[in-house]
Amino acid sequence: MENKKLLNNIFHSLSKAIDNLSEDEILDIESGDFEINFLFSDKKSVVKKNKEKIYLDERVLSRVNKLLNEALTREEGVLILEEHLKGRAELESFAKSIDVPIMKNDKVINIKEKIVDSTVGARLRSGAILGKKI
Amino acid sequence: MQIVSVINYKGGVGKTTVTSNLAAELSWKGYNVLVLDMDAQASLTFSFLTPDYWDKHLKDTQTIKSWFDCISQGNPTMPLSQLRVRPDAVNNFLNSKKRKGCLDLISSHLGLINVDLELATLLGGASPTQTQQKYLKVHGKLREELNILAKEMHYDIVLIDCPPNFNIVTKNALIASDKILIPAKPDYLSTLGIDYLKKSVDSLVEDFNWYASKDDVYKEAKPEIVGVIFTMIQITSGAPISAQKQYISQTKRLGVPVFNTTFRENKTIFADAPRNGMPVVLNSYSNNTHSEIVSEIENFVVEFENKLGI
Repeated sequence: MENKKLLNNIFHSLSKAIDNLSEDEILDIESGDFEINFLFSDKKSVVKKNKEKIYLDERVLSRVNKLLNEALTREEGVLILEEHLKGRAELESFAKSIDVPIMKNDKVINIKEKIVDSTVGARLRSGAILGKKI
Repeated sequence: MQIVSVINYKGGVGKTTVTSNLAAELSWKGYNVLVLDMDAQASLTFSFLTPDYWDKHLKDTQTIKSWFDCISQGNPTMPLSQLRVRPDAVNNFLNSKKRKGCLDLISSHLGLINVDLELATLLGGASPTQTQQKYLKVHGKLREELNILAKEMHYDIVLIDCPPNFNIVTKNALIASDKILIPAKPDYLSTLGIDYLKKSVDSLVEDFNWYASKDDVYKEAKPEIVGVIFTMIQITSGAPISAQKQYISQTKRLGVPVFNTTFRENKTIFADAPRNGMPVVLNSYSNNTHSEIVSEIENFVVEFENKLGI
């Protein structure tokens, strides 16, 4: 009976841990380059942090989108982000709104670069190939 | 009747899978469809016919290469109707289901890759008028002949599977086309390929129309990009994975028309389909995922019909 309860707990923890994996992490495991390891931790010492989701105002989203769409250089793009989006949470929220994937271990500067590359950078690349000024 | 070229500069993007399934579904819906395989790899040809049948019956005299050979050797071309075949597997299936449409094929040839050099030697001339006439003849001949064939055979749609390059054979296909369909994988290099293609098409149309504007016989070409169909999509929780989704959104932001529907990656059913001569969309599957893939292709064809207004 004790064993049954123990097994139940182990499988429950395992299932919960797999559920919490991001889609990129699942792909990493699927590729064979990553593996899953068990980490034992004392539950009492874990301080639960309730991350509040940041929802950017629709007007801010469309304003930043519009400005990025008009930016002529990557540097200009970074300045626009710095002026209108405060902190990691707002940057992540904006990135999500334009389908730019962000990894948990991305630093703020990487997030900015990814957003700028997917917007201003994409237009610069396209313009260069088409031989057109953006 | 409309002529649609299926092309991407980048290879391995699922171009033949898109063409064969689009053609099969359109014929299932009652359209008379002609597919023209212009890719020297002949993948579309071997998606409908076995290589041994092709070798025995078509290789020497009944492929699109024979037709281009006539041009490069300065001989009159045979009517394209002589090159047309009606592949058994697909058409027997359509007939058994009492479907009114048909699917015909003009095969490619592995030697088509060498035709370009021969055609290139025909270009140029002693005077500007000669140069103009040769350019128009070498680049515009297919359009003329395809229109004659389509009228004769009552085709509703012609799909041209183009090679992933921009040689004279490809240019013939694009000049002949009303629309261009671009299959692309949602990744960095494939999306760059879309821009390369747009630039090359613009430049080709400009050159051709410059010569055509000085000629009474040849009409100007106006191929229009009907849209990008994203292929090889990996689905998680009912949506493309984020790594692919970003390139779909990015392409839309650049103002390129993009199909809302996509082709999903699934080696289990796509890997084997050409061997049986039956595109995936005509098969029935008991597996739920496989049935969903068929529904997604059917939805793409509905979107394609709407965009073409057919």
